[in-house]
Amino acid sequence: MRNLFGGGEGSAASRGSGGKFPRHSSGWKELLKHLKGQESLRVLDIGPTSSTNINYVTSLGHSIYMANLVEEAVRPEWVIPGESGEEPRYDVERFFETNLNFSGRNFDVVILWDTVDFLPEPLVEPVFAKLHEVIAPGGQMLAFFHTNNDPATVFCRYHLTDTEVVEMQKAGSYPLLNTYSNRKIENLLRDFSSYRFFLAKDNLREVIITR
Amino acid sequence: MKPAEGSTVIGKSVTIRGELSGNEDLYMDGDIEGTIRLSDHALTIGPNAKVLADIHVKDIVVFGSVTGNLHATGRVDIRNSAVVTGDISSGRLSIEENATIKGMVSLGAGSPNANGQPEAAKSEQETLLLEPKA
Repeated sequence: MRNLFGGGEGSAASRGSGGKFPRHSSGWKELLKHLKGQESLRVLDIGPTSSTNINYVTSLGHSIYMANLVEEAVRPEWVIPGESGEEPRYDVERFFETNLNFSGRNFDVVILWDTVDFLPEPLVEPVFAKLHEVIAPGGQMLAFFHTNNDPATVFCRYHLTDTEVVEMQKAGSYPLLNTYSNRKIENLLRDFSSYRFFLAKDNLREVIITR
Repeated sequence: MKPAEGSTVIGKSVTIRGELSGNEDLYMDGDIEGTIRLSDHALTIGPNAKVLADIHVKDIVVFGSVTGNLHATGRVDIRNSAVVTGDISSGRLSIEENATIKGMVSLGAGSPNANGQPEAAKSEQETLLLEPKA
């Protein structure tokens, strides 16, 4: 999400992560209908912990699993130094075993937010493969993708609400690492049965994906 | 952070390995690896505590770090400084902002209501439907 929190370069750290900013979300509106129309769903929220999301999802009678992949992915322990002049590489297998091991659980709904745009590139394709594996057939996923690599983009914690609005709150200083064209997104989602894009006037595309 | 009056206190210099069970409220600020079972009583995990244990209690308040599953028949209260890595199942749940949870949260009846509903412009977005090519 582009920096909507005011201030110029260098001021992000001093702003902290207090303020919330509302954003209309057609994707969330669609997903909300699904959440309200079903009972006892298993929801995976892949973002910084939001007490609001936990309270809201559980108030609808669902269970929620929290996993913040961006925060975990920046740890240096996943980078394997290159040998004899080789480039360092990312230990995808160990990262997945530690951070995407759901102990055999499946999920009916995944809220991915804009996580993949902040993940190291070697993790992106495997993340979608893993999500395809753990989402139950017919399950839904909401994902956001940035349309450009604006350096002012900040990583956000997204808070759900009972309306078609999500609230964004700056959550740490992580650089935007990836931006994808529609074609590339379609390619990442090739194993899923369908998807719908929602284009916004800001620089986020939203996609509702059905397993 | 002061322990509630009447609680048994395990201080921050204490390390326990094994099963801890009892019939009174407990304030745990040390390290424990194993299991904690206080079926009819409350447990407070202090800010200095490092808990690597499955926990079965009536009520629990977490200020520190817990790795393990939390089962509470009553209320789970996750405070601002807490880091919980594990599944939480309880009747009621309260989580302060900036607490960190990695795991599944499942509640029984009587879970809390959702938060407020901020305003935003509805006309911000247009919808475009794209279908997969194959």
